[in-house]
Amino acid sequence: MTDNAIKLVLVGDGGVGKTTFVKRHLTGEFETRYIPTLGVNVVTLPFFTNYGKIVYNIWDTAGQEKFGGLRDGYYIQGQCAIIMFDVTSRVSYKNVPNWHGDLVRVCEGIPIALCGNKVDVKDRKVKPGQITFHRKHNLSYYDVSAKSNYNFEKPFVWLISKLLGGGKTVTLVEPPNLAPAEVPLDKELMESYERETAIAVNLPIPENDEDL
Amino acid sequence: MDQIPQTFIDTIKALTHNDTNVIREAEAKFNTYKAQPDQLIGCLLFMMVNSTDLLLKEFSAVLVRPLLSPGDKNSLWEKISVSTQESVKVQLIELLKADISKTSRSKVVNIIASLSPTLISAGKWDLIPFLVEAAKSPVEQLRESAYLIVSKIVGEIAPIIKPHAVLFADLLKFGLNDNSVLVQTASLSAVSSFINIQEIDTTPFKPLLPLMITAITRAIEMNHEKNAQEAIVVFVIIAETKPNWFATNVDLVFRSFYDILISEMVEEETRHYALEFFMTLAQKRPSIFKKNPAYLDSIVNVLYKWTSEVDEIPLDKWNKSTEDGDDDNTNSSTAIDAFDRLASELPRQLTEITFSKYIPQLLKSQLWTERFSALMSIAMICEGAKKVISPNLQQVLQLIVPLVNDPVPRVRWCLFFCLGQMATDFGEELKKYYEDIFRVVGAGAGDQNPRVQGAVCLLLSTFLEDFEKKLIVPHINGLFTLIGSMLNSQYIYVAENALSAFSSIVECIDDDFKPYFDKFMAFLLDILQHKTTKPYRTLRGRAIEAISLIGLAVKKEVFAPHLHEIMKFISAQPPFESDDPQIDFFLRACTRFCQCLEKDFKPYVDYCMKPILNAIKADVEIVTTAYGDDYAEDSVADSSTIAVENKSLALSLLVIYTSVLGEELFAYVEPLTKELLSLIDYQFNEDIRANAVELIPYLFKVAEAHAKSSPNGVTEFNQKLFEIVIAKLSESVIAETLPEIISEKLKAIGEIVEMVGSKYMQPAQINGVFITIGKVLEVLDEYRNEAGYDEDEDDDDPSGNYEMQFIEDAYNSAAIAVGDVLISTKQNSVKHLQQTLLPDILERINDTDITSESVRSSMICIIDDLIEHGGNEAGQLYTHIIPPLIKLCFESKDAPVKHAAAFGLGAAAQYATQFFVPFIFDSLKAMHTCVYSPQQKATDEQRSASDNAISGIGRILAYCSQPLAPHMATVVPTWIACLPIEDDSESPIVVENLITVIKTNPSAITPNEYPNILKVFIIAQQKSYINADKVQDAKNIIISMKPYVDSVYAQLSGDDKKALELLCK
Repeated sequence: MTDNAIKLVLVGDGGVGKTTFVKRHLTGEFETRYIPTLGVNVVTLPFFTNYGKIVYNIWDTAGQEKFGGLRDGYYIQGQCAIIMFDVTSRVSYKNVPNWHGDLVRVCEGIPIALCGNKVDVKDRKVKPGQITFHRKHNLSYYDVSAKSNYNFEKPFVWLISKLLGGGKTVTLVEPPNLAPAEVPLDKELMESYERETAIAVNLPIPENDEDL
Repeated sequence: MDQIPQTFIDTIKALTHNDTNVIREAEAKFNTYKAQPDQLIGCLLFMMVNSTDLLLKEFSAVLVRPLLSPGDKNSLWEKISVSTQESVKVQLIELLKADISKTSRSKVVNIIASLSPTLISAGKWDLIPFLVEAAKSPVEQLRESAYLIVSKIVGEIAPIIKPHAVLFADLLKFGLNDNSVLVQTASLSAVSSFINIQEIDTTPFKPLLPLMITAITRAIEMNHEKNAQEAIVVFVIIAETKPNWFATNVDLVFRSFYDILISEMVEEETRHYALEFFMTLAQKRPSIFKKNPAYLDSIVNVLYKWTSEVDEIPLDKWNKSTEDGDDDNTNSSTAIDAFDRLASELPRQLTEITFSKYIPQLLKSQLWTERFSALMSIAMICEGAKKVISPNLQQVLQLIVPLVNDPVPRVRWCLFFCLGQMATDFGEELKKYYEDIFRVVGAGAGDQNPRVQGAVCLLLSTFLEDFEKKLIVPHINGLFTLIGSMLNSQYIYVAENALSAFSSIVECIDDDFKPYFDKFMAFLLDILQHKTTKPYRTLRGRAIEAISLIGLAVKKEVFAPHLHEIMKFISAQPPFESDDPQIDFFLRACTRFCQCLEKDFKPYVDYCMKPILNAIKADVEIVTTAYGDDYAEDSVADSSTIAVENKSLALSLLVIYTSVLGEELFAYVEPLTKELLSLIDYQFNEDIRANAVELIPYLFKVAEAHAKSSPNGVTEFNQKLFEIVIAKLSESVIAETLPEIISEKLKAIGEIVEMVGSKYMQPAQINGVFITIGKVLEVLDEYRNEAGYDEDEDDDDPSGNYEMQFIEDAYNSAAIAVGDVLISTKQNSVKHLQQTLLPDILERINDTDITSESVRSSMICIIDDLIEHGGNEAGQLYTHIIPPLIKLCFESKDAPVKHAAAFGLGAAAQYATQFFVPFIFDSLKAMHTCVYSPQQKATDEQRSASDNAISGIGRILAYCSQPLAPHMATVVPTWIACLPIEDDSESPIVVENLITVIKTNPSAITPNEYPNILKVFIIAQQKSYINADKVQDAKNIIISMKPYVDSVYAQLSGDDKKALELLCK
């Protein structure tokens, strides 16, 4: 775990897809087995930006209270937050003000992104025009889809730019959906990969090979 | 800190650790401390007060708050000793007075706000006098805290507050006049808490409004921008909950917030808050903007300025992305969103201002961003202002279409985006201009920019939905050529969109696709076989979709030989991962293959039904979420979202399978019914409920088809099925909470009763269904009251209240269901209706205050069905049901109400004539006013009401000619003078009655009536209105008018001559 990482608190109703959303980043795979979050799970996500490597410690909190936990006790020292709801569940959007209220009670003035998950589902119940909460409380809103990776990095990038302050434009220099490298990259190996690719580009395309 | 054991401090610190396991261990330990509540609270409070470690200090406050909140599940308040309780109160007050950091102070405020309401209400904490005192303290922070606490607790101690509104208003005035911005903002937010207390007298707070506004401007001037923003949010909340509160000071409020909106001195965020205030006001009180067009104009001006602030992006980067980066809080995206919101609240006003004053000029601007903003605004306005823009579509197109030649790709993209939006919003209306659209598409398809190409394809697929085949046929080659190159685009999203446009063309041209079959099938199969990697999943899905649509287009003869290969290929594929987008495409494609092959699909049925049944039975994991401490809700777990979607999809596909395969699916009826009857109450997903309900009548059809070989088509199985289904649906409709689905459930009851009710419905079931519907009507009344609450009473031209529409539709469905029972069980149901529903129905018909006209007309439709199908049994009720109909014919201003009432009177004369006699003259008079009221034919609805009255008079003349005998010579010519009518369903009846009237009253007819009689018969012949057994009568009547007919024959049109000849042949 990284000590100078940014603490990000992830809240929202149970089942809106918080854990899946975070897991997506780690494995690039869609988690199909549901394991309810017990109180909290802290996961570390690195992002490689034009301002260098930024590491989040994401406090993925339980939406379901029956699993116990400290609830707003987890929010202490939170530097930014994501409130997530499910665009196919009106009640999960109706509860956004409650989550927001709980958050700001503990962490005043932190940047918060609002994310509507599951936008890949055809019959969304919370239509874009109905999502106005963020306008009243100056959050940034993103349609996201844990299932299809849609907009995955958006809230994280926005939060970085808010935390850096001064209206900086933050961009990612590496795609986010790679698992964090376990071992340092072998520079030579990478270069040899690049050379091979360059050669391959100049080769004539073999006939009857439509996979290329 | 020596008083606190080190292990306790370590535990608290461990709770903030970044390692889940460490936290979990610490949490377990922390929970064990709860066994000694006095010590735990004591330690936390001690650290809150004394710790020098900021983290420990603040964290203690956060942890102790729920423990001290009497209502919280984890509360220890009742478990600590009285002396600890007293000490807590004292320490909190001391902390509030102490000089501590802002964040620590707000934590203390929160603890007091959580703890105190229960204690104040129980008379166990005399906090209010302290707060009043503190509000006047010389210490700024204490004053602020006092107002913050007041703001947070007043809502919860409302009964204690209400009698003292005046005193509190004075306290707030004091705070608003404070020279500290902090105190001003805190008291401003307290104002909102007070006026939101239910039933409080808000008058004493009204004079505070100017002070509140001054507080905002002062906060801005003194660079307390965050406070200013908080204060604006308070106004947004008031606009949302108590919009009338601004009514007397509209101008002041508008000017103040407008100044903020255009101020260069404030941050962008603050301006967005000001805009949000206007948006909320427009939503809650549109009348304010309707009465002051200048307000709206000023805002629109700002919106255009903001919309045109789009970022320049390098073209290649723009082309690579598939979205427009409009998802952040820029001026541009905020303004675009605002156009959308304003259009649904102020459609007419917004359209007039934008199109008269802004759009034409902006489209001609030298700046591409301004041309972009004009197009974007049209795209956003269309949905909300559909009705207003619709008659002027051609002008709108003329205005924007030339931009297809704009030098800037992003403007061209926006044009296609806008047209695509218009195709969605206007549907049929836009199709009239198909030549323009095809021309633009032609120009756009050749664009070098994939982004533009993608938008062109999207436009095409939306536009071609339900497009008329004969219009597209001359363009087929052209369109396929245009799409061809895009189908092969190296940008996958362009290829996907092109494939989707291709499918739309195939759907539209139907069997004219045959010449292209070989070429495109090879192309599509190639995608399936070779584009197998993950990024191509959606493209493959689109390919199978296209293949299945081709099947439907070219029909069985051409397609069947290929299907076996395709099914073999599909079944050989490895199973999809659960999140694979192809699942959806493949399930739907199989359904289309079934539609294409019809009964020949039988060999594949079991293969296709397997995934569908699995989807319907799939387990769904449910998780429980608690909100607050006494309320919990269950919802679907993440892992099961797809299972839920697939359940819903499977149900909707089964509708198609059952209607195509009919009896072949009988084996599935029993197991499916069992599943469906539980899914109609599926609380976690409304689509599943709706789709399950919709499917039930289809299963019934399958069962009925199977029963047709039994004697009289009656089987014990179907009898039992009917009993179970009706009982379960009745139970379910009462429990249903969504008006849309109440409607569906009622319709399903009606459909099933209509289908088999005459065979199986027992008296107890008739009674049961009526009682159920009575209960549903009561539930709907409640919903109507809720949905109608807080309407803008000053708004003369309100935009649609969708919720209300759904509710009113449900009343209509209830009427249809009752009607279906009456139709199937005829006079047998009359006494049940009389004993159960009839009084409620009449009450709603006669009500002058509460009932909406839509509800009233639905209720009259029940009476109409009662009259039409209840025979003499219903006749005995005429003294109760006819007078209200006469009254409404006379008095109602609502066309559908008049329509239904007039129909009922005519039917009453026809179906139980002897009971109708006492009402003949009043009915005739009433219907006469219906026909001749001045506005009667202005709209389609009014014309149809008038036509129904004319037809109703005809029925009376035909069936009551005996009691009317002395008057026939005057009444008949008056009636014939109103003919012919235009209503398609009533016209045949008019013709039949006209024949009867002429036959039985030849003396009432004079040559004056001949022209209209001739017109009626010519139209009747052209539209086949004349029953075979009446043709001879019609002929005789024409012959009886021969001299007249001969005299006008030459002037008749060719078609009319032909009709006349055919009739007299």
